Amino acid sequence: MSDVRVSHPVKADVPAPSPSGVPTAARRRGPTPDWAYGLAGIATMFVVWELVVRTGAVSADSLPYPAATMRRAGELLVDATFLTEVAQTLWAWLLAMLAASAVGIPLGLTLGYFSAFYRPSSSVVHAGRSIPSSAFLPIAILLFGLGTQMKVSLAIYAIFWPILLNAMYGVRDTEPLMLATGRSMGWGRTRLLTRVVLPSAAPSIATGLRVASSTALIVVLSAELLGATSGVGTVITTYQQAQRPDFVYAGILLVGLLGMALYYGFNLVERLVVPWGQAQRESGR
Amino acid sequence: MNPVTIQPHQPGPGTDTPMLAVQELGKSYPSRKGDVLAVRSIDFAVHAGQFVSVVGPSGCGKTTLMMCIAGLLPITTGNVMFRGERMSGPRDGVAVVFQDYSRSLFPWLTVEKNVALPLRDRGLPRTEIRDRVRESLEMVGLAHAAALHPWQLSGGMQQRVAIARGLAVRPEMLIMDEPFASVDAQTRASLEDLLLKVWAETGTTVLFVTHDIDEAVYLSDRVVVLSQGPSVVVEDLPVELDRPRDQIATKQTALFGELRENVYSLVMASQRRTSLSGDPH
Amino acid sequence: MSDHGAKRSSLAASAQAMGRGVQSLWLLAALLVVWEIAARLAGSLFVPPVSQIFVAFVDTWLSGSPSSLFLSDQFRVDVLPSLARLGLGYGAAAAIGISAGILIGVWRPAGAFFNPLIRLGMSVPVTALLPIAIVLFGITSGMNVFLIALGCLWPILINTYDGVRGLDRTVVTAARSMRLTRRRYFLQVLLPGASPAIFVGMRISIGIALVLMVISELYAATAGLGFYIVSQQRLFRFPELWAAIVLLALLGILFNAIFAVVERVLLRWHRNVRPEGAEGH
Ligand SMILES: Nc1ncnc2c1ncn2[C@@H]1O[C@H](COP(=O)(O)OP(=O)(O)OP(=O)(O)O)[C@@H](O)[C@H]1O
Ligand SMILES: [Mg+2]
Repeated sequence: MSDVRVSHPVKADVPAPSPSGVPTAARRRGPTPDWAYGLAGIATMFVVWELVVRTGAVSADSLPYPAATMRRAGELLVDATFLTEVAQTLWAWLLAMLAASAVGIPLGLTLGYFSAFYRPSSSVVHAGRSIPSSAFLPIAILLFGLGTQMKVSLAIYAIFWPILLNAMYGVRDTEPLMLATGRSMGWGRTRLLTRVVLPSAAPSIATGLRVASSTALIVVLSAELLGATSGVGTVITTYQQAQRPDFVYAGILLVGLLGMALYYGFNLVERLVVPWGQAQRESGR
Repeated sequence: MNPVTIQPHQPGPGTDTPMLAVQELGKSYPSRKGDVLAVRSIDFAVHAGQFVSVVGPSGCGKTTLMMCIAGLLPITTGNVMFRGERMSGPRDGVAVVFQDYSRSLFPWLTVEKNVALPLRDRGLPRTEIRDRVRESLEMVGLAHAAALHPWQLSGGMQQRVAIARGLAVRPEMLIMDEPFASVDAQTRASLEDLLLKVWAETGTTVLFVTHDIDEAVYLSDRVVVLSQGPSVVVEDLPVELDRPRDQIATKQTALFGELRENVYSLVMASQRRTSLSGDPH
Repeated sequence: MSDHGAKRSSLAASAQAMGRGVQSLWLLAALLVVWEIAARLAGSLFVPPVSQIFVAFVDTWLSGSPSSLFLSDQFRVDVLPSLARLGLGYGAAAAIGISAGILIGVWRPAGAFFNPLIRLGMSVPVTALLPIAIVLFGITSGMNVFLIALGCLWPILINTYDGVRGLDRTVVTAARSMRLTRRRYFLQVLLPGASPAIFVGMRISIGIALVLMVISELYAATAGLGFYIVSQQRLFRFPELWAAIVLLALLGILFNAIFAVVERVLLRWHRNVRPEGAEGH
């Protein structure tokens, strides 16, 4: 029977994935644009949420009403103590990012560049990154106390490996033909490094930093939930112990938005600094 | 409805419905700044058993035209009629060989499975599928490579697999889009002769898209010359060279030289009048 | 390449492999020696020398009878529950992530509908949900499984989606021209084509799963590796605590190795089509 054959109509009207956002036939002529679906999605989430609480499927003690959560989120946003704690979290995040990249990137570049180091160091890296950073939490608390230092050192351990590894890979994967081209133009080591190796490793380094950025936030937050004495995580724990789920959910929502802001901020910076890394960025969406 | 039509092609005289009729076909791609016209208006017909080439300068809309004819892209204006029926999507009996062979073969399937894929789920018995796969691989001289993966083959061999995959369904019409564009000159010549041999053996109708004028003249019964994009038909030229053709002898004949020069000047002329619209006839 | 050279001399080959092993492991060994010396000199209570950790490792995990593969009771009590949670959470994430990723990749409205929700969901650091998970599940394995599943879901979902959306256009067009049934298109084109991306997501997730397994057990559990680590910390038994960390590292290495093997077997074609190797993350 020929009617069981399909011709995958979704793809038919959308010949190119149109990376630049050029409206394709389906999007322009189609009755519903993407953003409308997106809005519908968000609206549906709120409706389902409301219904779940209203019908008592989940009790209001553990899941607050969406309206209440939104109101609490608004209150938290103008609450100076809350904002200070957010700043504490971001501060720890920033310190970890700076420290890990200051060591990880140059080290990764060196290890990737000199092939004698590559193999031995990659086995160390693979061993190191196989340990879940969270396992160090009890030790870190004993070594560094419950302050920023503990959060930062834990986060550094977690993000050092992806940063290092991506810098190593970035250098390793430099197109040999590009190197040959450089050499044929009579460039020496330094020039090859600055004009070929670094630019072609940059997108990979950026990928490492992007992964590190969200990992660092997760680790800092975990440390805060599990013992640290400052940061958003502690606020959430406090509200939970005070049995205020509305504030807990509002806090989590804001943390989510913070994560989103970091992610998009990072993408923006990346696009400006490493515009040639398009292909890699696409795959990391 | 019988899924795979295995009819021999109809003899030319007596039937006046052509196998393929392209009528005022136009295609525009939508873009942010309004529609981009890729194909303005194309008219031509292909009769059963013919070998027809379409030539035109790079970017004139050949791939677009071919995709529209194969039912793989929606048409903006005009019609494509297959055996007098309007085409509204890909259909059985029409097989396509794509420009980019390295990406149109599925790298995760062996050669054999690639060729068998279009035969599946059509109610054919297993043995029949196996026989057809072997037969079409033999036709292109690749029976020994059945168990290999496409990436283990050279470019020319991959293109032969793509042709075999087209032949396996015993198509009434084979549409080929610059199939030999990315192989070296010797491979190209031997693939051309292979294609002529297979065409003679199977009697399939062939619509062959190329930008190579020599190739078009050497292979075809007729050459349809397109203008610079948005394309229109500049000329529909019969090629009355004797068959079987020969890479050296045929190309040395006076007629070949004449035809080739003719097509060449048509293409050049259409390029010079790039943005002039209208029918050159 | 030919197989003839490969088996030339197994002796030479094993010598070569040993050389490679030394070449790649000397740095790791050197660092462990430095650790040993530094720890002995510093005499820190929290970071014991490697030799003590090794002894503790054998005592804690490998003191069982040969009939239980030398695995100790402690292993049964704390490691097996952890692995069960890991397996359940990861399995659920893979099942949901792959099917949902394919759905939103294939069906555009679904993709647009869920897009903002997914972006928000993946931005919430999973550990921030620990307090909620505790309320929903109490101190049960369900809490750990939930957290692991949620954390692993996003990378698998997003990568599957990308894999489906990023299917080569030529591949999709070729498949369309063959008019495959839905089922066959799914099994032989869509799934294999997206599988490299799916694997990337699954590999990222296995690391996340380990991290979340430990965190959720540190936070609240009555057995498991995380729980064991906290209790050793309370008892100030640091060699045992480090032995647990070493065990976690070995688990991580084991999972990565399993992945490498599965990937090499299932995605051999991918490696060969695009030999660029190392992915970004
Ligand atoms: N998906 C698309 N979206 C928008 N415009 C397109 C698309 N595909 C092709 N075009 C445009 O249509 C015109 C014709 O393209 P087409 O690929 O059909 O040319 P062609 O003759 O096959 O070229 P070549 O000989 O290089 O293969 C070009 O100007 C191209 O820019
Ligand atoms: Mg083309």
